[in-house]
Amino acid sequence: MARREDISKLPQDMRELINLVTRYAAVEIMNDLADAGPEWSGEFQDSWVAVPVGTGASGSTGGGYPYSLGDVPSLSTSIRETARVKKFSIENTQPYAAYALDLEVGEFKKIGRPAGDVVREGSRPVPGFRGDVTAGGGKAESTAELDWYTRYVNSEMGQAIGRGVTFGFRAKR
Amino acid sequence: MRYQEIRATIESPIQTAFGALSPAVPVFFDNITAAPANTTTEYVRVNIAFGVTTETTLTSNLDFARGSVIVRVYSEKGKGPARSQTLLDTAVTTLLGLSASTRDGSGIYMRPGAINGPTFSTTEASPHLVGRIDTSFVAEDQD
Repeated sequence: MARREDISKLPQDMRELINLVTRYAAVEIMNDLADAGPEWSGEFQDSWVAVPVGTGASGSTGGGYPYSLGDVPSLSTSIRETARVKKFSIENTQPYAAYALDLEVGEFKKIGRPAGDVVREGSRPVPGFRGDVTAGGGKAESTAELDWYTRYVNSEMGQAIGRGVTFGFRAKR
Repeated sequence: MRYQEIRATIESPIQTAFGALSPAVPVFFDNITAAPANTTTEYVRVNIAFGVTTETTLTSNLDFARGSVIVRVYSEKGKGPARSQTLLDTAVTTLLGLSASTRDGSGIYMRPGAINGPTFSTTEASPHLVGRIDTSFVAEDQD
């Protein structure tokens, strides 16, 4: 946590800017995750939420893809909450999220046709990981590459945060 | 940017480390069909994904890539986590060893990030317990 003594010296409008930048970054990350992840019915894509870690936030969280600033709660500008380093937890509310994120093995049943583009067709081990589809000999379909989530968090999320900072500053000009 | 060289920098030591175990544990990389489903034989799968290739704000060298490595170890289910964790130890040690590369003007300079996990999962029908770790990496092609 940043030192509260230092935060207390920040004027109110600077604390509001920090919150705005954080919210814009959350929006960018939610949209990236929705865009990069699987899209079968669209339900998973529309289920990203930014849950405030601290107290005193206002407004609702979650909405639908594409997400906007109104889908991310405003944070308290109290000294305590502005000093908090971890401000949001970005989560997917679907009970099957761990399978969609390729974090757990599961057994998958195809229902209907996917709304999103199919990136792989073929066979998937049973049980197996959602994105573990290899060409030939099956009717399994995947709408996001295997380990899309891990790749995003490890190598692309930083750019979304950078965009959030840019958009936040522009909005306050 | 020599993606294949970056991939080899990661894959070769992993292949060597699991090959040196007794008995050797087969490793399957991207675009190689893994062991058949429902076999109880243990094996390892390694996925390498490239994320950002150039980041002009980060370095003046454009031959700079970010990505992630995901290692999944498949061990026999119902025998406790010990074997899975032993295999994961090998993977973690190998990934940490990637930091040995130096900025000497040639080859691939590689630095793995924090290693996440391990996490474990299985299903009722699965013959395997799957242990999983992942890490980010930054790689710079110095040639």
